[in-house]
Amino acid sequence: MVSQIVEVKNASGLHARPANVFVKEALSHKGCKITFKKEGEDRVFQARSMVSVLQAVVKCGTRIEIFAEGEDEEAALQAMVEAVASGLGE
Amino acid sequence: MSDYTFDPALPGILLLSHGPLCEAILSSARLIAGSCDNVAALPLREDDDVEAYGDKAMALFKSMPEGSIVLFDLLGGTPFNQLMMKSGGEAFPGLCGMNLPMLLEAVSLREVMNGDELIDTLADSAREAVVNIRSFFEVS
Repeated sequence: MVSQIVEVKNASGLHARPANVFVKEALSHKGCKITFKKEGEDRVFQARSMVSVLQAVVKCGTRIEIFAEGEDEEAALQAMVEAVASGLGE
Repeated sequence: MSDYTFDPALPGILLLSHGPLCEAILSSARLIAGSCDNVAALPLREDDDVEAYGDKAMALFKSMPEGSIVLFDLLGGTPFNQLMMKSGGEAFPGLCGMNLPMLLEAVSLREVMNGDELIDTLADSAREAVVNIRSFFEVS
């Protein structure tokens, strides 16, 4: 399993539309389980679930740690980190 | 004949409701998730013949690809009752209590699962999406 911390820079945080982009990116790595936590917190959220991602209530400036485990986990992690860093379509 | 053309590679989602709820939820989902291909909304209108509505709903569902699902607004309501009747006891994957989180989850997760597996996952996540917001006001 690999992980990396990235800051969410979207002005309104991880709201519905960027969350949808986040979920789609996670779903595109079919052989890899992708989860995340807010920095300093223990609760794990499923990156492939809109409900789970939205429940995280990630605000602008929050740092999240993304975890990837499975097939091509390094590439999956990098893709997720880059997607978040680039603003998830916003 | 159905007015819809479905991509055979993508499980469909049929939304059935009393009045325009299903159309409105689909419209809201599109605002968030984009086009939502292979999703059809069939509202039961005030002056609809319920038998004809049931026939139309079942024909629409049968025209969808394998692994498609049905989301109903209400357990025991006419859209649900009609489709159950028209199924003639042949099981199909469906869920009552349609809401926006459920549809958003379905639209994304059907890329990796379908049918009964998708319904089981949706049932769990839709329950999780009902949240009392009190905890957000608690001082940590």
